Amino acid sequence: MTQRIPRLGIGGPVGSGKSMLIEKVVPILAAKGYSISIISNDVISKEDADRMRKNLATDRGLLPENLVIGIATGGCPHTAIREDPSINISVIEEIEEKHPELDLIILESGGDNITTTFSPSLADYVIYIIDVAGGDKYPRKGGLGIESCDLLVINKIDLAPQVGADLNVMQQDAVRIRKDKPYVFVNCKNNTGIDNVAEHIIKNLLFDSPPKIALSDRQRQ
Amino acid sequence: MLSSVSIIGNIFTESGSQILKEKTFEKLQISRNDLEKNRLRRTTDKGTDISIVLERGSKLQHGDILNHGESFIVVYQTPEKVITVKTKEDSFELMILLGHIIGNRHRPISLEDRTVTFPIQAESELEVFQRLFTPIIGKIEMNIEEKIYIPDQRMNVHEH
Repeated sequence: MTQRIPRLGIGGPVGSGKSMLIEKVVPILAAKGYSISIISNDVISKEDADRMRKNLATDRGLLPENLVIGIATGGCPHTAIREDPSINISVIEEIEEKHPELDLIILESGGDNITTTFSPSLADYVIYIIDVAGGDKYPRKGGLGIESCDLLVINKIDLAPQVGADLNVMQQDAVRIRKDKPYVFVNCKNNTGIDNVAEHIIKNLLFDSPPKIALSDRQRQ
Repeated sequence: MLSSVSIIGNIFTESGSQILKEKTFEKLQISRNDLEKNRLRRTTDKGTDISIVLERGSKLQHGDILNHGESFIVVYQTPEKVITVKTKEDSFELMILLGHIIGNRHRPISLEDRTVTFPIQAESELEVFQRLFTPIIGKIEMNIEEKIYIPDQRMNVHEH
C-alpha cells in the first residue's frame, strides 16, 4: 500500500478567496521545502486550476505543472468532496502512487454553501474561508463549514470599512461559535495573516515534520 | 513536545479495562466529527501534545486507549445535541415516512427500542423537524437530548 500523503481541504463560498489563499500559502510552504500538489474542484470549468497552474507552476516553478489538477464535478461540487468523494480519492491515490515524495495535497472545492464539509476519508485538515464583504454577520450564522472546520479564515479584512463590517464583532462571533477552534483574519491581496495560515498547516496537518526531500537536496537536483 | 500515539484498546472492553486497572491516565476530549479523521494533532487535558495517524478505514472511538510511553490517554467523545423520535404505533407507512423525512435531511441515525436518534446543530432545528413531521406528528414523541452520539455505522452519513 502506498503511503498516505497529508491532505488539506479548502472550502468556502464563491469569491471568498480559496484559490488566492492557495496562491499565497503555497509559496511559503514551498520556500520551506515542502512538495505540494493541488486539486481544484469546480462545477464545469477548470479556470481556477488553470490560473493556479500558470501562477504557481508555469511562472514561478514552485511545483510541476502536472501536479495542479482540475476536476469538473459536473454538479454540486460539495457532493464530490463529501457524499461521494470517489473521483477525488481516485485522483489522489494516483498521485500518491506516482509521487510518494510529496508532503502535502491541497484540495480546493468550488464555492457552494456554508454547510460545505469534506468527507474525513478525503481531507485530514479543513480550512473554510469566508470574506468580510459578505457582512460581519457571517461567522455567527454558523453552518457546518464555519463551525466544524479546523481553521476558519476570514479574508478581505481591508474591505471592512467599505462594507460597514465590524471586525471585532466577527472576532467575537468566531470565538463563540467555534468554541476553542482557531480562526485567522487575512488579506490575501497584501499577505496579511498568510504566514499564520501556513503555520497552522505546518503544525496541525504536517505535525511540524521536515520536508521528505530536504530543500538543499532539491536545489542540487 | 509532540508525541505519536496509537490505539491499544478500549475501556469498554474487558481487555481494555484491564489495561487501565489502577493506572492513571490523561483524557482527550474530541468531537464526533473529529473522531472520523485518520490524521490529527490534539492536546490532552494535561497539556500533552499528541499526533495520531490511523490506517485508512480505521478511526477513533469513544473510550479508545492510546499509548503514551509508560502512561495512557483515553479518548472521550464530546456530547452533542440530538433529536430522538419514538414511534407510538407499528405502521409500515409511518416508518417509511419517518425514514424518508430524516433521510432527506442527510443525517446519520441510530436505532433503539422503536426510537430513532439523529444529531442537530442547534435547538432551533426542533421547530424545523416538527414542521417536517407534520403528517405523522400525532404518532410520534419527539425530544431533544444532549448525549454522546454514536451513529449506526450502516447509516452514518456526513450530515449538512
